[in-house]
Amino acid sequence: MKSAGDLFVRVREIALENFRVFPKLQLAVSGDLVFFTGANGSGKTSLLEAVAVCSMVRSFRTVSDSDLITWDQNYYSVDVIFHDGQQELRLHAAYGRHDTTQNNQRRLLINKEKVSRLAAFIGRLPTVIFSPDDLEIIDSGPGERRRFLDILLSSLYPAYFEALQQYNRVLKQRSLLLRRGVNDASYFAALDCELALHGSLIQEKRQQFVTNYQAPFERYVQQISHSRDAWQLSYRPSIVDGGDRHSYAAALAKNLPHDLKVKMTLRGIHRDRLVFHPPQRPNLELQQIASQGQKRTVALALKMAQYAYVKEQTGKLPVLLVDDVLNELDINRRQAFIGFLHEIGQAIFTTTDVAEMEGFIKERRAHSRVEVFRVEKNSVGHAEVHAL
Amino acid sequence: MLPELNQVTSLIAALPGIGRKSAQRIALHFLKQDVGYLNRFIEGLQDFYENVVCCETCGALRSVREPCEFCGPNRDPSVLCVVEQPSDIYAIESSGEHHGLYHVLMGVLSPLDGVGPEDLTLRQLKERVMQSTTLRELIIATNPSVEGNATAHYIGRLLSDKPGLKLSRLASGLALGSQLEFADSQSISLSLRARVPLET
Repeated sequence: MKSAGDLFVRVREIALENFRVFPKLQLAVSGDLVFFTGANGSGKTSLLEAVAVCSMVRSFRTVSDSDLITWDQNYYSVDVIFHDGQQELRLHAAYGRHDTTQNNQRRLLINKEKVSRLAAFIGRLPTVIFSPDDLEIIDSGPGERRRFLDILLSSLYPAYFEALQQYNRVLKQRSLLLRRGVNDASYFAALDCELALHGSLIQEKRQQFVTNYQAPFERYVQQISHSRDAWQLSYRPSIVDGGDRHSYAAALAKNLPHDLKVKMTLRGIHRDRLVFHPPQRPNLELQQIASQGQKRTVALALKMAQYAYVKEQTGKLPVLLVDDVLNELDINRRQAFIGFLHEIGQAIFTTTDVAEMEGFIKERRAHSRVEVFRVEKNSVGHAEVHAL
Repeated sequence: MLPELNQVTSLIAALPGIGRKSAQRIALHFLKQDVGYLNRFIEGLQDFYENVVCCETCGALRSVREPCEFCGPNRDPSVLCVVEQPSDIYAIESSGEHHGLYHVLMGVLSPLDGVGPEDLTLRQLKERVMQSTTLRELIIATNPSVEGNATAHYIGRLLSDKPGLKLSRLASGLALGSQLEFADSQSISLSLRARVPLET
């Protein structure tokens, strides 16, 4: 529930340059519920992506930064001005180069001051994204669920993000030794000390997270399914007791002969699993037994619980970014989602059709400022945004 | 561009920390000097190149005309400081805190860069430590990077069988004069973990 103490985070302005279909855009936002509506391909999701880039330094859709640059251009830049409940902040994220002789570079500014560490930028603007891809967190392999964990925890704890970066670097070094068949136990022991240092910190944070996440997650699953479904979330670390640096290192040492045989590091936080299962039946996995509808319920509950978790950890109401999700929900899930919107702060939606939200908008107009923008492509294929 | 100017600019731009624009400025600067300056410059470089070598014992830079200043009798032989590069010695020296000996590794362990234990002066370090009768403490002053830390662990294991040797590592944490509010989280977390008792 929204409590009086939570700080209301509000995006006030979005300014883009060479970002996807927008050569240049400056958009003042004043609503608590903001709708971007327009045909498919008009560029409405790009506006959500821009906010996501300032929040997470990455889009929720693509993996490559150069994909975000307008075709034919060398760089993009995004500015988001927002109020975090205490002060106004201006974030600037740019990527690219001035001319083709240079390499692409990233530039991050907070209030016009240069930020050299990603960890100091990520999560300054707290957001939670609902997108049709959320189902993949549930339905794809364990890597997607680790990614979900890593992105969420990185935005909350800069030390987690930095530990992860260093862990991945040592892991790469270790993999190379394994591939080359270097059989030098002390060399591995030296690398394993570093892996254990960062890995144990990551494991500890993941464990804490899953413990605290459990209650809101189960509550939302019940709420959405009208108590027909019940699922639990379990963390299955690849190294038992790996939250402790010494037992983590010992497990790596013990497994080294096997690692050398298969030329891969088989133990560690890069092999951890996050599993959804029925209560008290940890051996049954959701992926194998749940229907499509049940999976959608879990995906929705997962994201709602993420919102609750970020709110609890930061004392702030994150900005909710909702990419075309409403159309995909059946009546029960849509009702649960609309109920959830009463618990949140600012929300930015994209939708092809505002009409289907009309009932909700009418109801909310009494309580909060609703703002609707139409996103259209002009004759040159560039997008324009009009307030309705 | 003039081919001659282009050639000199490219040579200078290949130096560390110099971009193409600065390189061109430096090249044109040479052109304005008299020939005496140019000759002194060239001779100075040549003398530097021919007469500066690495000390056979510790790896520090020294002149061929004189013995190594860091291996001399005025240094304390009970403490040895291990660094990555010869230039790191100057950084440590400028603190005035270390009066002992040095050992330059000539790099750090990094499989990604193709550097293994045999590419560093680890064998020499082990010999030096094992043969020494005066050494009491080894300070490992590799950089606090992933590679520097792994190398420190490696050295720790390599020398663990030397009786009575104290192994230490440079502390990491908050920079002096910095403000907590603006410090990066990892430095804060390191300095919390390695916190020290308040001296009263």
